[in-house]
Amino acid sequence: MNIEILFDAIILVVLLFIGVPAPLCFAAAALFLFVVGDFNNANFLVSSGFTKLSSLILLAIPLYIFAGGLMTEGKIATRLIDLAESMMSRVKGGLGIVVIFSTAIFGAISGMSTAAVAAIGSIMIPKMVERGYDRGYATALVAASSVLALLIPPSSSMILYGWVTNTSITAMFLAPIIPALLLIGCFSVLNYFLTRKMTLIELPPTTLKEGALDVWFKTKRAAFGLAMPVIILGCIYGGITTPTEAAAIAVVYSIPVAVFIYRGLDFKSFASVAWKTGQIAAVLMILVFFSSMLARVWTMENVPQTVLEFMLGISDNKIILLLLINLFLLVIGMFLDDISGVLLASPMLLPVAISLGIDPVHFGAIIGVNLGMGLITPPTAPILYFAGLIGNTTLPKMVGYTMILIIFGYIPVLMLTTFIPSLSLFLPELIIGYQPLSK
Amino acid sequence: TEKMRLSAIEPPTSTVVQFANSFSERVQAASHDEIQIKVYPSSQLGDWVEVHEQVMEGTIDLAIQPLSNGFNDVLALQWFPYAALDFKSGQKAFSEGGVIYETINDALAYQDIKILGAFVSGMGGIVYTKAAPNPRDPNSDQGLKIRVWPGATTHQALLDRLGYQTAPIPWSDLYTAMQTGVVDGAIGATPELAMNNFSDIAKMWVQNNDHFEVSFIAVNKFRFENLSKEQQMILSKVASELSAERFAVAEQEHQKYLQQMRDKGIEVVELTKEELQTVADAVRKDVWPKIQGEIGADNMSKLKLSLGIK
Amino acid sequence: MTRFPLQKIHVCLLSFQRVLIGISTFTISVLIFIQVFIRYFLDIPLYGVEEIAAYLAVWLYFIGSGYGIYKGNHISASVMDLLLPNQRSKDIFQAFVSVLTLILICWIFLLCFDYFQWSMKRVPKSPELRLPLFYVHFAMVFGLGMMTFYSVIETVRRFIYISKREDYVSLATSDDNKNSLNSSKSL
Ligand code: NA
Ligand code: NA
Repeated sequence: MNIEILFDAIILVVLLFIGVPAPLCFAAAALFLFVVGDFNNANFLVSSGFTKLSSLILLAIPLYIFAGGLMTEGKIATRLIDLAESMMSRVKGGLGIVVIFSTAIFGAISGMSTAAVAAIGSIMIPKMVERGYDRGYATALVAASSVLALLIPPSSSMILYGWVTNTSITAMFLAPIIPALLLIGCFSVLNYFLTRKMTLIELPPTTLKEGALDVWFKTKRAAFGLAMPVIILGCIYGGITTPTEAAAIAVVYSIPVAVFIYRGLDFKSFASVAWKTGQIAAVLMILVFFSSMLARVWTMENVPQTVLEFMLGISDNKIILLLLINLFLLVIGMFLDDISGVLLASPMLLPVAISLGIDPVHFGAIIGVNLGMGLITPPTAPILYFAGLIGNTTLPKMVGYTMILIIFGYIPVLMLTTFIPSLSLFLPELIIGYQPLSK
Repeated sequence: TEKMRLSAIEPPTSTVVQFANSFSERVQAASHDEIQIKVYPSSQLGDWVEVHEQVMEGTIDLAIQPLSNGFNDVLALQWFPYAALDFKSGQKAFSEGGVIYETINDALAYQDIKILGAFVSGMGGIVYTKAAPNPRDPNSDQGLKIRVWPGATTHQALLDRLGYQTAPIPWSDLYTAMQTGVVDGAIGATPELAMNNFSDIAKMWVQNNDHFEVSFIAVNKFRFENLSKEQQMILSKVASELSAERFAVAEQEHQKYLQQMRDKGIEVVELTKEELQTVADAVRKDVWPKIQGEIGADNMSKLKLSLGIK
Repeated sequence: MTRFPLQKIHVCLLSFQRVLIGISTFTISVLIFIQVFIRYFLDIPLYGVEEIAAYLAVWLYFIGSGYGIYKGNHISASVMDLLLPNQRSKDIFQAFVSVLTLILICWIFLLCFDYFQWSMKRVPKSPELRLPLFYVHFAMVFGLGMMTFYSVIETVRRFIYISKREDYVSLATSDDNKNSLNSSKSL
């Protein structure tokens, strides 16, 4: 391997490790290659960052965050939880499943995992503890489920992946859905086994008719929230709008819903959602700004090609190489959040994946599941720590349960996603007639 | 040795990139490995506007692509509708000494870019996912929404005149937009582009020669002038040789892709010579006055003079 | 003596940034919505609206990035907090990290400034509205300028706290504390 590239990787890792903000770590790595490389001026760095930032496609990210924020502030989470609860009231360990399902539905409204933790976790964790669930388990489950927000459309990471790799966002929204459903299934089963030893306080059983009526009533209460993903996906897949435009429609839809129908929003809280959205978007986009600089120098210095040759030097077996890529992503995910991970890994690894005959949409799903898992994998596990904050518990109390959810939930789903391409390609092929590479 | 970077927008399998590769190989051979050109396909070094900027700056030495009109409006002359009507008149206008080539070269002098040659991709047309009712008639309302590339003032006016609605959509969103029906078709493509990108969703291709699709071989002026005289000669010579070779086969290649589309079951509508002339006359009469501002009155009269139009 | 007006400017600057960020977010959504609405229902293309939205977003991101430094919101992945034994060693180490960060930000600031000057000289224009792009490129200079400004404050404060042998409190945290103090007074 080229010594300069190796040195660049070391700079990146060391700076990240000591806690320099990720965007500036990317900048440092880009500047290093710029200085040692053969370039006459740095305008191309600034220009590549600027071009990405001013893209209309990426505009979808602040808009989805905004729409999600408005619905959250309009107390949509409570209604979703009520609905999931009335559906699961007859199941043993039902409250755990309520968490899994309500975060999943919430994920269809919001593009960010943190929003799911804050909205669902703050209601559900105390409720679960009250009913006899272990606090560490409740928190770990909320964290693990919240990652679903990243796999269920709309999703900021999938928008970014599509944009960085020039893959259709519309296809990228569909690709991780089946893996997400598999995760929901795995978590539900694991929930059954993990809660067996806990003494849970179950609600008295209701008759089927009462239950059905209750579900119907709760569905009506949550209807305006549930309509939002339908509107977004309907606009995109019905050929009415691009994903960015659908996001703007979602924002405009959620304002009257939150203000007049759910009555959760006054001017002050509206303004606060607006500027907090802008702040979150800015933090993400600055990461995009610097990572595009890094990606550009990498291309100019042939880094993806070097990585490809290096990996092919280890083995030419497709299965081993795919495992290696996953291992590599796992390590990235251990230290980085999903957005930084996508921005770092996709320009470097997609050429490798394509040379192995992996379709870009399929690879996006692999990256999504893998880096999603990274959000709850220590040492750097932003979603897990955040959930700990919300659930008022510490890492040691959560880590055991988290590892079980990872090893028996995420890892099997990750392997299935990696080795069965149709899991991620089926929906894009079915709904938008996507034509994968290999065919 | 001189190491140079060459950027192209198209994917590695495209004819432009194959052209770029032969450019690189021939230059390397002629210079006895003294000049090595690495080709970066698929917009790896940035979109066409960025690359144009970086060729001005010399960060990227060479590019084969349409040039951006971001720095000088005149460059819209490259895709000015019905500035050329067929391959013959196109070759004249886009070769050294031709009205378009020279006007563009003058404009680029202020941008530190030199043109070495041109790669003719083909004649433009419209690709549809819904068949147009009267594709041969310039005076009928087609009732379809056609995509134009962002900033295509010239083609907005053109499509408006030809009876279409327009929507600006960037290339990266185009497939999805056509697939899902946000638009019913797109302008700004050639048979090759349409065949490679939209063959599975296209229903119709109308060959109306709306513009002549050309990628220029552009080099940074200072980078070029810093090469030895002999090396400069090699670059220029290889570029003009290749350009001429391409001109010679361009029409044949163009027909090849039209045939591929027919084989795929896409309805190909080729306007006859008379029909083309009717459309061109209508556009030159009604649309040109509206878009004259893009290239300026002077260049407009030069263009008209070269075509023998009053 | 100078403390009062400085504090006032600081507070005004912050609320100004928040207002700008909030208004831009809202405006961008509305612009895109209007564009879709007009295209879909009135069947007229509306050229340039998306361009305005995208460039407004660039301004939003860079204003927000300065604010993000102030708030300490930028994503980071430090593992050192788990490794260092006590608060003081952490604070000293963090001071070192903030110096590194500051150097990087200054460097990028200079690059953005160079680019802006180039843009003033060459005057590239936007594709749709033919708007000179230096109006948008200036957002980068402004944003990196604000990032530099808040980074300098953070670095200096860190060294002051180390020399005073106190645990570091960020400007944002101390502002928050003051605010809650004020509001509890007013109650
Ligand atoms: Na989501
Ligand atoms: Na992690």
